[in-house]
Amino acid sequence: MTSAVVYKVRHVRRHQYFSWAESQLKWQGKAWPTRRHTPYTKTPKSRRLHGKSSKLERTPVLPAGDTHSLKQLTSKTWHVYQVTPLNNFQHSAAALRKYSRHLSAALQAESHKGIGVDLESEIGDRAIFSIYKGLATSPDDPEAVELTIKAKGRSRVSARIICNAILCSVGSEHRDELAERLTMLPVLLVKGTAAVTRYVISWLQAQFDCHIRKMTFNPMALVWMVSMWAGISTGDKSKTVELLYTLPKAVEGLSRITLTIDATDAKTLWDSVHDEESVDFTADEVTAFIKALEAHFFHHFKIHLAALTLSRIGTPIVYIGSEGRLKILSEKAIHAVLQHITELVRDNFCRAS
Amino acid sequence: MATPVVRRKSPSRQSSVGKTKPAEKSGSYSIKEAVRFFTSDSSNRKVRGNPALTLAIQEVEVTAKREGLSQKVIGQLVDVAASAKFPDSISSRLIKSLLPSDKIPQDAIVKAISWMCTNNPSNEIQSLLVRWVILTYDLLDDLDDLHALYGVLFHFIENDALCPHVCHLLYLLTRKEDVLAFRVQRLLSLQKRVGVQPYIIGLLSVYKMYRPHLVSLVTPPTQRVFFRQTDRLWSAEVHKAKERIQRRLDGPDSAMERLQSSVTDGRSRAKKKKLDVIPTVSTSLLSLDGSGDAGYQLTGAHHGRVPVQHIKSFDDLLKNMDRLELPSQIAAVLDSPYLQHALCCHTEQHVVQRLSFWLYQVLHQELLDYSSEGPNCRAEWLLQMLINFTDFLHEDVPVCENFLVKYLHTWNGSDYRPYILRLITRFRIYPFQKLNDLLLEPLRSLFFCSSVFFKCQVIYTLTELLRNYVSIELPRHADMVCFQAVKEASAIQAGDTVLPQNQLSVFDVHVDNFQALHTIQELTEYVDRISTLALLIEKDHVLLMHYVLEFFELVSCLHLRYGVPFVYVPSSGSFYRALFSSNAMVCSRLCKIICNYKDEFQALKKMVSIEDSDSLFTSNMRDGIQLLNQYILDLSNALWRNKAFLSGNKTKVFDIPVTALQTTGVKHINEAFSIHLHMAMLPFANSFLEQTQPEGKKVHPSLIRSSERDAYLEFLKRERLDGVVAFINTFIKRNQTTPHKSQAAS
Repeated sequence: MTSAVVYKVRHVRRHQYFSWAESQLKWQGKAWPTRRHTPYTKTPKSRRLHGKSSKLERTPVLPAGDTHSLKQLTSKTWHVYQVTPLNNFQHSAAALRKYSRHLSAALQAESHKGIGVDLESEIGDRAIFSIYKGLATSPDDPEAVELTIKAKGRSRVSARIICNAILCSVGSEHRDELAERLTMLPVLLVKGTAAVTRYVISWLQAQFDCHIRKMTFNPMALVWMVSMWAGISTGDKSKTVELLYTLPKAVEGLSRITLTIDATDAKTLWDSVHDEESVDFTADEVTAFIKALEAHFFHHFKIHLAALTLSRIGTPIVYIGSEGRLKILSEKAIHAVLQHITELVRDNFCRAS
Repeated sequence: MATPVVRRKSPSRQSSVGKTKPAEKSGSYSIKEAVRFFTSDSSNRKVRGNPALTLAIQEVEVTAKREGLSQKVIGQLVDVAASAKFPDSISSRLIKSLLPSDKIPQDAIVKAISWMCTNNPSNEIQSLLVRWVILTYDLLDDLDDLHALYGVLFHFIENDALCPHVCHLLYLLTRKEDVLAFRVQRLLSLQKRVGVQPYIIGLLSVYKMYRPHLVSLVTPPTQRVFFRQTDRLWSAEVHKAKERIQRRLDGPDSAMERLQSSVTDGRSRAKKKKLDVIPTVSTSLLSLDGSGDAGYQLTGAHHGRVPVQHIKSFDDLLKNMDRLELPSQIAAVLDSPYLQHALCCHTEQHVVQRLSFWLYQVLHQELLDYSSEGPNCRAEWLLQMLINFTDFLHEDVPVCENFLVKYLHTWNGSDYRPYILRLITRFRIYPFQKLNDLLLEPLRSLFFCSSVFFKCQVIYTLTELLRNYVSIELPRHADMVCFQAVKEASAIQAGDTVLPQNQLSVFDVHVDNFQALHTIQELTEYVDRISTLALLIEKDHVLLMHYVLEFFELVSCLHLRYGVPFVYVPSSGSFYRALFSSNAMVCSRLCKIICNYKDEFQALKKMVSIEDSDSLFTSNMRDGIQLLNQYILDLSNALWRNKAFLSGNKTKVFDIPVTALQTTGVKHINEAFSIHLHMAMLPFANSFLEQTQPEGKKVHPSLIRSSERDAYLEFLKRERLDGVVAFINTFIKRNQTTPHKSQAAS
């Protein structure tokens, strides 16, 4: 403790004749209390690897007709939002019909305000809420809800889908007691124009008293994800593991560095750091994996990647950007990815007391 | 108009003009006299060197600004101002102070326009009159008569000086039937003469709105300002008058506006827009229409619940408290004191959870994720609302606490400092180790590397935190532990009985059963420790000393004032630094604190003899008494008995070998810290001697003999050094040759 040292020195110099620091003596040897309680949740030491555990078996077996619905989640770029629990949300068909009607009416009223004059900011006129089956995996998960917004468009013949949103919770573990009227659907995936997205979000916030905020992934979260999923190969040769680093603005002439690794090479590296028996992926394994990549890169280019900001990752199963964009490539990985995101979002919520 | 003064039949008129007695309040000049001066024909109308005129005009102006003028007075003054009886400078001042207390009578306006037709008043006065009508347009009692003069007014557009204002007035007055082809023609020909002017365009655009076929004019699509406000001060005065009238009309109900969050003022709405973190009060149709597919229902008819919007007065709120439907976005309560009352009556779990989730997310978004430069006024607004809310509840919002803990770890010590420190003072009580990790540790690291002012703020914050603990949190903690025990017991006995509602806290927080008193003890010790170090680092900065003393002033009366069975005597580090301070304020307050401790210990001893407390407490007290006696002895030896360094006393601080003392070369070293020679006291001794000794005599503090000490003490008391006097009166038995060694407790 520097301050204590300073104190001692000055004390001796200024008051060398006095011996009145007796009661200070009881403090002199005593350091300030050390920290035992961490104030906020840290990244866990390890995370369950989806697919390695029994969790996969809990994934509901879908009726044949529904499989296409999961397919529509893949190969699209979604914006990820985090949503605090919805107040008074009901899953019944009647309630969903009512929400559809209300939102449609609100959208129509909004478009008559004259804001949506040009086609770009068209916000649609028909909203449909429906249950999205097959996403919930744990018994604590409420069924996911899909929201589709259609616009008639100019042709007035066929309605186009201009916004697609999915509220879901995948594999969440029962943590805190949630009030009866609240529904935890913490992840919102949206694909749509900015205007309609904004409007839908503000409508949801007002109607269900929730707070919706863009989900961002910090470099630490990205490192975890790329390390966990780099070794999951889909067998497609063209799919690679990719890390995109951005450089500080002060660096001129170079804005980003993309590190691309062949999926099979990544798999080899991954296998060498990861204990095959274990169902968990540990923090040490993450460090080892990423250190290996950085060392390799430094060997060739003499650049310390650790000093740069990781802003996007790509694996054979998913692409995720730090600003909350998500593209799932493999249908099998949907649950793994969404479960992980659900976990991250719920880490962001404070324990509601 | 032949007669300038329209004789009205109101009986009070004569009394006010002719025969009013001087104002009831003797010595004050009333508005009636001022009006009489202006209306009387015999008044002296010179401007210079005319005190009567000055007095009258000032009275009118002051009254107008303070409470406004009555209808009658306005009528009379319009005549005076418009008749050009007085010079223009006086007339224009009169016109500018024609602010009503209630409404402006239409007659006055009609009179003003009549005067304008006589061409008596100059152009400037005419234009002022028109501007006055425009500014006070909303305050007119009726418009029909004025509107009847539309044609007359229209003629004034030919006057170039008046034209802009007249156009504005016509713009306000125009009705559909006024839009006639010839008027359009006149305006267009005027436009041809003076060029395209915004005020003419403005008037034409109104005409076009009523009769599009008459005006083929392309107005720019963007809303333009047609009429400029020329006199900001004047319009500000009129605005104030309007507010004053509005307030009186609204009466007590205007406070309900805050409940409704309806802001009428344009400016504050714009401000609100900028600060719209907190949602407005609204009731969701969905939540009312809870019956599934039944379609839209009339709001309010549902389940007997009353939505907030239907509450119009405080009585309504009280009557419907149990059936109140809280706003659909619960966070709206933060903005409304009334709804906070309502919230306290509806502490269902989902309400509290909604608020908690929202608060945490928004705080995170506005404070932690806010990246742009400069302060975020939305965050400041939010924090202020939160502070008001916690002040209202007398407890902290748990999520806010969680957030604060997280925020403190990245806090730079300057962003939102007043708000953050204020919120810290509301912290809940925790075991000290936890409190240290969550709160004190981050504060400490900032404390030791910041300026003395920050140190003062932190010491103050911790003082307030301690005050919060002893006055609110400690009793609540005890009650909560008790309540939880009862709840558990009853839950075991009968699983399904309705549990008693938690009356102690809005938030359902589970508290650990720990010795809360230990937290207080360790916190006190901790503050003592950091203040001692801070005093060393800052070289006994007097402001810091003030806050440290304030802390000990609180600690020294914890038992007597707050009923906390606990005492902590300051460490010798702080004590002796204060004793040898060069500031008399510090010495005096230190003495007072020691006196407090004596009372405290006496009260505690009484309590201990009655009920046996735990051993820690008694040992704690024994140590405290020992230390306190030591202090008392040192203080009285140094201040009064001139025995500071006498070897027989064996005190801590003055135990210095005689040889060492001799090397200092100070004569009469034992007296060096007495009440007349102490560094802090010297100026007082000096001014005392200057008062008592003959003038011109060379004075030295040693002139204050023991016989004069009483007079000197009196003098110190007059100089507000009560602490020193109280100390000597408490601990020194006077009128004895050897002062009795007095101690607080054996």
